Amino acid sequence: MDFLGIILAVIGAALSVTLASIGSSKGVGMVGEASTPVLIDDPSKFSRLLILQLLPGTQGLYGLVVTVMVMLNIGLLGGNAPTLDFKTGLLYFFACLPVAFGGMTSAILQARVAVTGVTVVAKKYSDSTKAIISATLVEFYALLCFIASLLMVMNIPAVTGT
Amino acid sequence: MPRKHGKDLNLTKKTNETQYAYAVSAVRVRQIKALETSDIDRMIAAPTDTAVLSILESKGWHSTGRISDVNDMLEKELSETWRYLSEVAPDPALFIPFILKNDFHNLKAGIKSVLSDYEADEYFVLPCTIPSDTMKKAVEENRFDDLPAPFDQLGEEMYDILVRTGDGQWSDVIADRAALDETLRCAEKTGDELIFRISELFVAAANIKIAFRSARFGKKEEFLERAVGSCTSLDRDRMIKAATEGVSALLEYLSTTEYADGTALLKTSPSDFERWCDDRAMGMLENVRYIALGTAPLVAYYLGKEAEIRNVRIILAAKQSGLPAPAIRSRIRRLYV
Repeated sequence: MDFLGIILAVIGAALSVTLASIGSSKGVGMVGEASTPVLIDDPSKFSRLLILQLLPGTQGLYGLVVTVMVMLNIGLLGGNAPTLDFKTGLLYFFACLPVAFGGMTSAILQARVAVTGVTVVAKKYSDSTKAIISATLVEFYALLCFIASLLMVMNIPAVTGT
Repeated sequence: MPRKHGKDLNLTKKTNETQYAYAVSAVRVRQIKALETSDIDRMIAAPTDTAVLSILESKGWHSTGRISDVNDMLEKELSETWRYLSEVAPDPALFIPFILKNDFHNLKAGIKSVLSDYEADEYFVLPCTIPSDTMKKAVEENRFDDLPAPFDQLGEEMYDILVRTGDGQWSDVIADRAALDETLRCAEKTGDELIFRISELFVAAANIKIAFRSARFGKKEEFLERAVGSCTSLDRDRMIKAATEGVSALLEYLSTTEYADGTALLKTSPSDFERWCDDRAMGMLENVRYIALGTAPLVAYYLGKEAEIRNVRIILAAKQSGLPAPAIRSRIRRLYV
């Protein structure tokens, strides 16, 4: 049963980047789709639209950072096949969940706000900064999940005493 | 067969809203150029009909500047709106209930034109679901089987009535009833609540107008049974019974329905009732501007354009007949902006 700990940790690491990236790719795609007709009409609005499109993309990055941290901590990036007890593996698994699920959900919801922002850019360009701020507010919760996951991952060795 | 009541309808179909990101944004970009209340005010204040056309040209409408081309311009404007909607919408079939009436009109016009030795497509209107060529060929060659249901059987029946009896009114009654039933059936099939509610309003308004005209001209129950369609917001049997008893009985029944405010206008002017219905439909779309994704913004785009075109038609007709500004304003429909 020695391998169970490492399997759980790797599943957690995989989930954190996969789910967060699914959310980000859906979100960036959705805002990109919404931006295209505005760009066709007026290409000069590209810069504001780019910011809106980029916003849901950060969650995937948060997921990747957590994944890398987990891999570093368990020694998977060192090239050796590490061993991990079940309890530690389970701790890594749960530590990855906030950024995995929080990242995925917030990316999709942030994209919805950004899509409405695209309408603001199209119709009232002078107010488009407000739309960007609205979309940025959702980012705060993705950030909370990321920090929570990161703190947990960084402190697991200390908790388990390994 | 009596229609199901609202609570029994299956209007819970969930569309994948995120699929509509491109389409919603695309129609909202187009709506930037939509006519606004200030444009309508300018058109009402314009001294002549050609001045109205100039205002429309400045808003990007493709006017030739000749008043004789107005019908073509308005038809092209609506066709272009439909073409664009069909191009950007993930599922254009959802919006068919709004143009289905044109196919029924084309079938009626086509059969009558052929029997009167005119070109079958001379009076066709656009947009429609059946291509003009297909409809023209079917009516000219008397091959109604080439048309999809229910146009195949309906075409046969109408042609038969016109050839055997020459009763154009009866043929129209059958076609109009089929149009109402088919519109509501298609709307229900979409599973989209907004599309159904608006279609229901249009069908109910048409049924009320049929019943009102029949009551005024003392039509018999047999006629009403054939002409009046079903809808969930009206008790068909009660309405038919009331209509056979006369206008007062009909208005009394209608005062108990959700259309009471509008039908009160029937006493003074049926056209005021039509305006009330159009405005009510626009009222249903009022909150759609706050919806980011889904089918509703596309519905609002098409119906909003229809309302614009209706207003332009009213203003141009009023300018030609020299109506004063207050009289024009009283006929203007609510806009979606």
